[in-house]
Amino acid sequence: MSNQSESPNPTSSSNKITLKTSDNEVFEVEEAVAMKFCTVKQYFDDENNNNVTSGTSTTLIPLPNVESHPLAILITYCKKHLEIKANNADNKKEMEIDMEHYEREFLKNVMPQELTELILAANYLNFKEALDFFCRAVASAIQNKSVEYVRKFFGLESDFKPGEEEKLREEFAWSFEGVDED
Amino acid sequence: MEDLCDNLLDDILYRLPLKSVVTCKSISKRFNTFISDPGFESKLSLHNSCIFHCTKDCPNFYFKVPLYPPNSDKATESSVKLPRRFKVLAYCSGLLLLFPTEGVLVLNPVTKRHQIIDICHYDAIGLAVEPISSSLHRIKVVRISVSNGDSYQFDIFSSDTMSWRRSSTKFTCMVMSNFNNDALPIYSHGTLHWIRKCNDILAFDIEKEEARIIELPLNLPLPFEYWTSWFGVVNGENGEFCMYDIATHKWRKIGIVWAILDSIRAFVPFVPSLAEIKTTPWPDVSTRVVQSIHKLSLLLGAGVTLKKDVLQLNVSQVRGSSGSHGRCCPLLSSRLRFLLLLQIDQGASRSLRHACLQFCRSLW
Repeated sequence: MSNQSESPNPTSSSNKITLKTSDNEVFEVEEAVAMKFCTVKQYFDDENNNNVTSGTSTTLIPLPNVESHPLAILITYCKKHLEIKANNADNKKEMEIDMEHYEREFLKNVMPQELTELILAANYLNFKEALDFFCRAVASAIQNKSVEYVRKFFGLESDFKPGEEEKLREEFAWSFEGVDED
Repeated sequence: MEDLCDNLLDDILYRLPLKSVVTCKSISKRFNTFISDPGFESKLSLHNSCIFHCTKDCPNFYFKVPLYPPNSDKATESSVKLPRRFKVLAYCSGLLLLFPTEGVLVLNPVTKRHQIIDICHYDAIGLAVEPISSSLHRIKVVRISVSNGDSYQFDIFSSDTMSWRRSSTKFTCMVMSNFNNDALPIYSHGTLHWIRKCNDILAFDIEKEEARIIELPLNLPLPFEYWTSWFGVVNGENGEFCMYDIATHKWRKIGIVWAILDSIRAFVPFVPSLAEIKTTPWPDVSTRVVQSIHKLSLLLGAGVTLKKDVLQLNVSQVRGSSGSHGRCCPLLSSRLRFLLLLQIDQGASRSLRHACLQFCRSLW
């Protein structure tokens, strides 16, 4: 009775969904945002099927594999994503331009270490657009860069035995020509 | 980083240009193992594949249209300019056969490994590449020369022996005709195919060393429904585009071609590979050749935005360059004026074939 869902426009639905992260922070997000996270949607749908009669609109969904920091960023990204989509509902080209512009600005405020965190979170939440975007971002950041740069980017150390790396470098010497400045 | 599972690593790395991925092998053991996986390697090759072509309008320019750009809608075309008389003679399995004026050159534009092969006069030439292992390939170059004005003679260069050998096959045919140099030879099903100016095809089986003529069709069967391995011809006045299906030995009409294709000399879907080229030292490769190799490698191997003397064109601009001829180019109206060869490697996946066909349709 309390839940008069089936509203004609789901994005304007005021239903809130509560997400609880692994570090016990609680986020209240609009249903439209939460539904972009397929993992959440799945959970939500299952819950609803199990409690058809209860009809509460304050579902709490635990996210044991996501910390609050990446989740906050993902929610911001998702909101913007939906907003741009809604603003350019009938112009795909405009939408892409806006999205590209936003993504470029977005990346200015993200550190390399954060990207890995974001990829893991987006992957767990099964948020496809974000996962695709972050993977693209990493790829373009390390494209045509030196091995040292990429290691630093990922926070990795070489674990080759002495001589192994030199051998690889020798074998693929052609790939080291014309690498960008770090 | 250690947290990223293989699926996610895959999701990141396959977006990189081939050259960058190979650099990444040296990052750590995990990267090296992951990248060396044959499954990943073939996926990567596919994602770095392109249509590589040159046009009659500007014969020194070679264009590349990526088939799998990371952002699929923004297919940009880039090109390189090669020196005059420096020609691409053939393509097979990621390797190019080039004519730099001194000998012929087999080049892997991705690794820049190359081999110059000494050659004397030829009437037609072709390149056949067969994989021995994932990185090692057997390369054969076949040279055709006309003997006594009534038969063809075949010489075969093999990377096994690094030398030329004359085949005992001598092929006599009723009509002797020049080869159409605007069309690149095609290697498929163990056989090299050349188009002759008299509108037929000379086929040469590399293993059996047997030659035969494939006649052009009189009546083209319709509709086109089946395609495995084929190449096409743009024929005469109506610009019919048909393909010879090597598997069933039949010609099939697959469409009508408008003006645009008339200006394209030859094009091939280029699937890069890391195939090694066995090399013997060649004393002096001129700087002109070195520069050209470098340019081709930038175009086909690096996959990154090109700078400086490289034209940036998108497909619509290329289309526009010959659009002034109107819908049907006058050049098409007499005899066989233009030949288009389209090779789909047997190994090519369905999606690559699909992408090629889509590309062709975008030109029609």
